[in-house]
Amino acid sequence: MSPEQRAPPPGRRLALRFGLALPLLGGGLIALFAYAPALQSVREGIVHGTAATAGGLLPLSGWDVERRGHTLHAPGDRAVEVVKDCDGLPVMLLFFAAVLVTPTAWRRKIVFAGIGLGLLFLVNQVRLGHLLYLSSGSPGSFRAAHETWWPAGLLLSAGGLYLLWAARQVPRA
Amino acid sequence: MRRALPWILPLVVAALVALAQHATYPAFLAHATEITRDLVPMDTPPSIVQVSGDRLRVLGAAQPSFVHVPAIGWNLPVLVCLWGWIVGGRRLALLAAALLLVIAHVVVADLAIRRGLGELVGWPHAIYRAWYIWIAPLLPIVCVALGRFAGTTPQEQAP
Repeated sequence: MSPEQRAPPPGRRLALRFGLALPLLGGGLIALFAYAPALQSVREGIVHGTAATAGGLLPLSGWDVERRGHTLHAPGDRAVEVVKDCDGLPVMLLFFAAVLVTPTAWRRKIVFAGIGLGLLFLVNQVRLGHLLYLSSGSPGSFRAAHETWWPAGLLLSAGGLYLLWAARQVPRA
Repeated sequence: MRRALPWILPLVVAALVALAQHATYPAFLAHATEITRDLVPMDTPPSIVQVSGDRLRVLGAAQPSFVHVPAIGWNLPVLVCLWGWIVGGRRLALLAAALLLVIAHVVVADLAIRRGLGELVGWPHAIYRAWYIWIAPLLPIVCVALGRFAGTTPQEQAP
């Protein structure tokens, strides 16, 4: 029997396994990238890549955005600094963990994880662009978008994307 | 039209839940948080918690504070919509998940009232912050994923 033909365990066992494995693997990955010294250079690279991509992508929309180091500047005294929490990595790691613990073939998991992480990276670029746009407005609206709506939005995007995929991997009762 | 119905119907139900929530939820949370304040008394409880549109107006400190109810309860319509799209049935499980969310909303509204009166420090404050960033969006997604996975039967899983 090939891995694709292997039947997932019965429903409740499957749900229990998902409910236990997701927080363990997701939380473990998030803690590793937050605290493991060996991974801090990787994290720095991701932050740099996020800022560099935003500096390259945002001008494509016709907006005069310039990157200086990890800070994005735009006309109208707009500026945001891309720091560790701006890379969306915890949400991406949680998404990655959810894909890994889904009972389906490894090839499908790896392909979808790659596509999903790429899409989430792009959603995070939209977030950075929006925050850059808001940066010259009222501090209250910037703070609400930065600390509440975008973190929730990014997580909902990851969750929605995952659910649409996972629903196709596990047969419905 | 018939093929679009499974996608449209959950959206309509979720919109109705959101509308009902807008009309009734602030008053419900105002009453429910009276119970939580009885269970966990405050040092200086609010003199009154009033409903003001979609917000709770908390009086008692030098300046009134406000609790924006849709910012707490938005994940209930999201749960209903995602459940309809992804799970499709298992209404009892949906009811249980919705009840879990409502209880969480009451707890967060209580924490928000305490915060307005300057009585939210330490781990309750950390939970309050985590609600907006992590817990609120994660709860409906995890509930729907569990509902979807639990809704498979051994017979139907056979290749």
